[in-house]
Amino acid sequence: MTEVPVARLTRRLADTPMDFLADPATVSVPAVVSDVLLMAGGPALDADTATRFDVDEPRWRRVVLVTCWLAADPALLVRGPSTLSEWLLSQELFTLSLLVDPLTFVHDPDRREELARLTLRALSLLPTGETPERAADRLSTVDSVKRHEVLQAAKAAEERAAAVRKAMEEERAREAAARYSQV
Amino acid sequence: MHVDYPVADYEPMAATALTDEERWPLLTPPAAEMLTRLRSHPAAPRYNHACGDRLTAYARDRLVGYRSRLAAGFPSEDWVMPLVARVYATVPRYRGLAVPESLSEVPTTDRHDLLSHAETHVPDDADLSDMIVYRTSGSRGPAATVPMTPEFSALDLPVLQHVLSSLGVPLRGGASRVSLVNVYHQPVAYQFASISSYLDGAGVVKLNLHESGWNSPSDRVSFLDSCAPELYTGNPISLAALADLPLTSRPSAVLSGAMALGSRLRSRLAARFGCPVVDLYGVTEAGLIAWRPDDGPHRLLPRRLHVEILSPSGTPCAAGERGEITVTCGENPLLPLLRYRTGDHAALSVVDGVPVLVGLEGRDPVRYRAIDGTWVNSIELTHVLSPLGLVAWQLHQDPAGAVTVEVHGQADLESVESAVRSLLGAVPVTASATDLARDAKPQRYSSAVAGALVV
Repeated sequence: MTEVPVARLTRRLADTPMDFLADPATVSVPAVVSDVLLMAGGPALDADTATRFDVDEPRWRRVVLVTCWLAADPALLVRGPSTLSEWLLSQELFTLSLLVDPLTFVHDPDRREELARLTLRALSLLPTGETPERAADRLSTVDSVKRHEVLQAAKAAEERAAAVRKAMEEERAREAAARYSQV
Repeated sequence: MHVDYPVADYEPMAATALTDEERWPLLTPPAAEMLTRLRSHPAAPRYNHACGDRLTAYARDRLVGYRSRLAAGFPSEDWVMPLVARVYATVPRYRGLAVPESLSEVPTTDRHDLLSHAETHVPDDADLSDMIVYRTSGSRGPAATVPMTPEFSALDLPVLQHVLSSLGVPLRGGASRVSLVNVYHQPVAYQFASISSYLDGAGVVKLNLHESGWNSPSDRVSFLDSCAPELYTGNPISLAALADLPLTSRPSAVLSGAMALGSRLRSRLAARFGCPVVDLYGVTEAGLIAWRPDDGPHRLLPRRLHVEILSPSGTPCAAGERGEITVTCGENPLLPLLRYRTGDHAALSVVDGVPVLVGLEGRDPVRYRAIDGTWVNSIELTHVLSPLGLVAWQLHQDPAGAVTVEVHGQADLESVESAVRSLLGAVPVTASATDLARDAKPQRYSSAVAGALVV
């Protein structure tokens, strides 16, 4: 598996040009995506596929723009246009855009590392010097989606525990039912 | 009557929350007549609670099916590992743990665990809408609140039927009959009249033989002879008190639980009532586990209840070797138990092809002499000492009536002394902090007062 230095990608994210951080409503996302796909050796988006990137989801549009800048790294472009396109349109990237302020993928070190590592994984690339297990472990420490899922599960568990405690305190429960022997 | 009795739950009728329709979803007109008869009986006890069976038709039918399953004998144990898998998938306490490949890999649990985190033992997919709760007596450790379903609570009935049928004793039921009176003998206890839909509307009464629970002491005999129940259930202390009453009616069987039934009391009860006397063993969390009709070993019930005997370190004991009775049971949907340590001890053996508990060490029935000469059961002392959060204690009364309480670890000794005096009056009481871990299982109660042991 090809290896790519994470540090180079996070540096690249930190250096994201202002054009990619502009108000996403003012930028043609399909055009930017087409440029990256062309750089990766593929055809540009056609009218049909372009509409898939022209969605009124400002946070997602911004994440796609930042990811396009990241993906323009030569080591990532070699993975080819269809892989890149799949990653940009993935549910995972969309979910991430809902959970994380897209600008933090540029300004926050942990979020830069997260987007870099997620993109490497999506493109079947390994961070330089890391085994797949090590890469998965490092990603888990910065994985916003997983953290959100853990928090959601913890919240659901706490709500359930509270419901059980409440049910146990209910007068209806405490009236109980007749017992027929003594133990 | 202890007006300052510290268990608030016993305030008359304060713990009722349902309508009769909710208490008995299957109440028939004849059963309603039985209920009215019991409630309005001129010699009825001072009822201080109301309690139904809360059984739906579905639950009742399942109990009928359960009775047939018991009759078929011990089930194969192919239910155990599916239960383990289900519990690991749905019970918070086990969340995130790798599913063991055998029961012996499952960590044990105990009452302390239940006490502190009951909600983490209730499956995520369990229906909470018909939950009922019981406070355990605390005689085997700290008191715990045990959630269960009405169906699980009523499981005693098919189990008792199974036990009785093996003794040739039928349990007839029917709305013209009182099938069961569950007797207590405590300064304060719940008393209520009920009916059992499972027993086709038969009357069921829980009552307190203590005089404080009656308008007139003679009402006890009038009421009980009028009920003429098929069965009496109770504990050795309450059944001994029952045997002292000049009853003329005769039950078909007497069933004792909660504490060890001594052979002398068994003989006395059998002679007094002229019927089989059964000693039951169980725990609130798992239901009835074993029984014996004589002074032999306790026979395990053919429930889907797996019994192990474990050493203090948690390793399985060899057949015949004494250890802690540990149960696995999924019959209570609100509290499936995996390797639950009961705090009771016995050896597991097989007699005549039936698995038995040999040398079961339950709670000794001890009573204490109050300053006014009346007797107070050890379970009463448990009620007043449990709320103090003591880890463990040993309470002893010397021949002169002086009481010493040894308390494990840190404790407010003044509170301990006043709790004891709240029941026994102005007897000399000395509490001291000590290390009870010196005993594998500290015996909570002992007495050198003549007559203190009900045997």
